[in-house]
Amino acid sequence: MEEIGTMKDGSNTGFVNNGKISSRQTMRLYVFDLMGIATLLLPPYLAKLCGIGGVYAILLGSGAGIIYFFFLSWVMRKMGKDIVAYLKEDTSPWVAKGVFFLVMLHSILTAGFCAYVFANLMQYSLVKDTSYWVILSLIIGVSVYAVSGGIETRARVYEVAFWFILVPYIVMMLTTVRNIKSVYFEDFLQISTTNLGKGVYLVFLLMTPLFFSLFLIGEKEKEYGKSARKSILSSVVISSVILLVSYILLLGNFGEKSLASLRYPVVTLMSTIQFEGNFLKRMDSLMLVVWFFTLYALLNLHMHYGVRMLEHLGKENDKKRKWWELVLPGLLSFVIAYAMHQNRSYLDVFLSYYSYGAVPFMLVSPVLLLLSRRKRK
Amino acid sequence: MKKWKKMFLCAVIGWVMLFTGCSTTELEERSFPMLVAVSVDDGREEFTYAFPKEDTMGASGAKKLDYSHLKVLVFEEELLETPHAYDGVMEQLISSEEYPRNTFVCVVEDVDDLLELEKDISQDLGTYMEEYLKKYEEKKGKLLTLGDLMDEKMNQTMLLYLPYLEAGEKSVVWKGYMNTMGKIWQES
Repeated sequence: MEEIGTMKDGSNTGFVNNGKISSRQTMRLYVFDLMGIATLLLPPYLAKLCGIGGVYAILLGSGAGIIYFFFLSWVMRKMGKDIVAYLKEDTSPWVAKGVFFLVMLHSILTAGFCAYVFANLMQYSLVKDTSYWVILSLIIGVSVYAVSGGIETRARVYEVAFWFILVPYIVMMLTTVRNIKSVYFEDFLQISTTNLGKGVYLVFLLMTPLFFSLFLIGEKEKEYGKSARKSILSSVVISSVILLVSYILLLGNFGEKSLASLRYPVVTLMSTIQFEGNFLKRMDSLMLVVWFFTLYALLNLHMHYGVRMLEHLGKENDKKRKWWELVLPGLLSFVIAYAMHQNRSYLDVFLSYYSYGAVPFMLVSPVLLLLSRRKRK
Repeated sequence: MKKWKKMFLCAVIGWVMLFTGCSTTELEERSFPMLVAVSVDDGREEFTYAFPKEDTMGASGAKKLDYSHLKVLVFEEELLETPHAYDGVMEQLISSEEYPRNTFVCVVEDVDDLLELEKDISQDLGTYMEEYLKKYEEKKGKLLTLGDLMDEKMNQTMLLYLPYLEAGEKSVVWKGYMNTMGKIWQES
């Protein structure tokens, strides 16, 4: 650990700047990363695939996510250090460079997707008349700026904002209980297993940001490693419960087919909740903050690793970050997001890549890396 | 690096401030319908709008319609009795994604009679109808909204009953309910 408040160049910021965050921050960061996009995008897809069986898909998919995290924890223990250190010290330079490159590519592509969804949501629900590329450039610009501040800066913001976001979300969702129509749950015990597997895979797919915990936790700091692993596990459980409850409420409010037809059903649901009183009257717009924050967290997570991997691909001894290492991933994410907005087929290509390329990579690569460990001389 | 970061942030903020106004429709260029009435004329669906009293330009069609303040959607009885017309209207409402889902929905025998009523009331028709329906909601329980209708159009699981009203001399009169198949159910 570096001295508190001392930057690498010797200046004093008053904050810790060592690339590490506390286990509480880790938990809150992961809850944002996992619940935001899942509650926003999953319900219509699950409703289309499994209908009421989506409840079971969430339970099984979350279970798969927990097993995946146990697997990653085992890999971490075997590596004995964070993955960057492991790649640099215990594998051949080519393997290390290859993994850095693939993770960078994946991070930038996913950051582009997150930015696309974020800008689309903002335009759809808040500023319909504003042009997409202006919204997108603002999002990417702020994200690049946030990444330049380091993971600690963002973790502090999420730590403070956590309850301010989660409590109103839970309260708002619970107020929709009275609007549930029991007729939509009549087939609860008659589940079609045809698409259940696809549903489970979809839920698991959104749990894959857990892969990045390999970069966060190093076994050298045993105490931190242990508590951080516990934190991430609880974040998986918390976000799964939030997703499950949200799905049940959405299903009860909209019904299976209507839910499947909505673009952002959870935002639509929020917009139908009415409170009396000046401030509370516009609570629905305020609730968009939940997804603005959570999508921003996920975008930053990927942008952060895009930048970091690009740095690791550079020269070993050159520790000073170059401006283009920060801007290039941002620019590429912008291009990807804008392409998805202009042509939906790019979005489909990305989803196919994620399902058939990224997920298998995140499942298999940790084991392959363990197998490729070099013997010490 | 620090200096570069500040410059970058300034550029992002400046960028957004310069370009966000380009395609926005200003408030003065918008009209806010408070009530939309849908009727059938010669087999074709017809949409009629009621605006706030002070918005004299609204009816001219010179401004862009903004449905964010819509209070009530009124269907003419004949529309519900013509299933293909009702289906067409519902599909239109769903696909436009512009109508607020928590808008009250009711049925009247004749839309023209209801619109005539606006001359005799101090408020705009939308606010008047919303207040009227809210009073009945307190007495009779939750009334249906456009969101409920949209959901049922997709789910097809139940028959919905909408408030069935009639425009009287200087007020609206509660007549009972009408379901989405066009059948009237009067309370005893």
